[in-house]
Amino acid sequence: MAASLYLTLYTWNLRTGVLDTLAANTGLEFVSWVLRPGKWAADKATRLWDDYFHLVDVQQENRRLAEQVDALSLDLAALREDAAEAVRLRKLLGYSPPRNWSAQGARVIAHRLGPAGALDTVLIDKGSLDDVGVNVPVATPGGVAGRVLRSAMQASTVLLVTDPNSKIPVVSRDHRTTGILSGQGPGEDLEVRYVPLNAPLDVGEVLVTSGLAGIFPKGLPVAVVSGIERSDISLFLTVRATPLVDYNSLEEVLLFTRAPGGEPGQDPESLPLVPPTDNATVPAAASAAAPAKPRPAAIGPASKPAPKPAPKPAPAKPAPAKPQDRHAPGN
Amino acid sequence: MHTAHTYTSSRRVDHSVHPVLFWLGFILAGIWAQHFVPGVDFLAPALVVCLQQRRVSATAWLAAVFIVLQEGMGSLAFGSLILWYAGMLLVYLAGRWLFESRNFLFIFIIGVFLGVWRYVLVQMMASLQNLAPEQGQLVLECALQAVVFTLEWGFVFLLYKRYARHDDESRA
Repeated sequence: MAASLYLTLYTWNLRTGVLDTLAANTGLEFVSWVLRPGKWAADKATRLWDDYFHLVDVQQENRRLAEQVDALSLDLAALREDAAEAVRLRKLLGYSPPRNWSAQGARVIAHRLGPAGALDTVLIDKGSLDDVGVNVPVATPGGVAGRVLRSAMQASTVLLVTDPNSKIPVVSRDHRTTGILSGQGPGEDLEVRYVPLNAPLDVGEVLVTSGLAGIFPKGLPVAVVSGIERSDISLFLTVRATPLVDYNSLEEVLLFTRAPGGEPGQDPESLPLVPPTDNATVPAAASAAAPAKPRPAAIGPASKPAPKPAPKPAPAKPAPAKPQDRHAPGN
Repeated sequence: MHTAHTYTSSRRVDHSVHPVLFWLGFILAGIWAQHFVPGVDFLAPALVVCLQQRRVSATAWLAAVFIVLQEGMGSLAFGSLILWYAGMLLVYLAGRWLFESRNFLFIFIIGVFLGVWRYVLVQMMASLQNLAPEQGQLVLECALQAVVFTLEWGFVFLLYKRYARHDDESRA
């Protein structure tokens, strides 16, 4: 009797998600309110330390960053030209303008919690009240961090890229070789699956989101290829990749939401990869069009001057976002 | 002797708090403990302590609160925590036929059961959702769960006896 009642409850919840929503809006919300004051106190203490005891380091870092900004400004000027060219070429090809996105900052307030925390996740302080729902892409200035798995009113659980259940369609930045990026567990390299044996791909090449699953915007950097092995028995290459984000030290992240009615022609590849600010919404359209290809050094170790790839014929329209199974994060 | 006993009793009363406040503080501390030790249930010993004190109603509402909290902060579909706590309570009730309920070995056996039960449960519930939990990490957390449960039970039991407001010393 009890078993049948439980199974009924479980399957009903799997279909409707009512109990998951209830648990998220009560349990997860309560947990976020418990953890938030401690995080706030820790942040304040850290800032005090940085402000008053590490002024020398801050000055040196400031100088270094100023030099970096100068260099990046030069890069940006060149890249704007490339971006404008890309827009023109897309118009010529009849490529419909991609959807627009906007970004907002969020703080990481906890990592995996509790006995039901079987997946590699983090808890952030933005939820449905901030228009953050399931499958919202999560990134940092360095690259993609994951996507929202479950959201409460003011907190959300983010499935990290390193989790084995995370599958992201990617394309190599230089050779435009496609594959599915999958996690191998915390602290482990990522794996790129379904890369054909004859596909052109180099070690050190940056992998960016292809946007094919309709969840991630196209062109966000995710990882850098760290190893390629050719198997005698498989039809695919064994490709390992190192994530561009240190997931153990995540403190702030960016949440990308689709901005309906944004400026037409805005390329999602031009997502503003800027440090997040509290409660600040950064519209993608506000940023100058930055290209998908050669990104500044901030992106990561990819560094080889890339041969300019031929523009790949794209489908007339990006694949529409499929309604995701709320309990199947493998996408 | 009589004076000393009176003094001790009055001191206990002075420091005791209402059980609701005690368990609220326990929940807050447990959430923070789970923040620092991911994947381990720091709330479960409270249910065993309540049962040992024959606080059935407290056990029931604590279990309900724990289920909502743990399901909310977890990443699996709702339902695994019901089985998790139900398994623990069944082992406790069954074990009472063989052991004295406050026997340390008995508590350790419950802890070991929880470690094994978590592995089985996560595998089972994850497969129902087409998920693949990271094996090495899961095994480590299960071993940690067995140790943490046993040690934490002793700590919580002492704290409850000393600081929660209750008079009966009945044995479960």
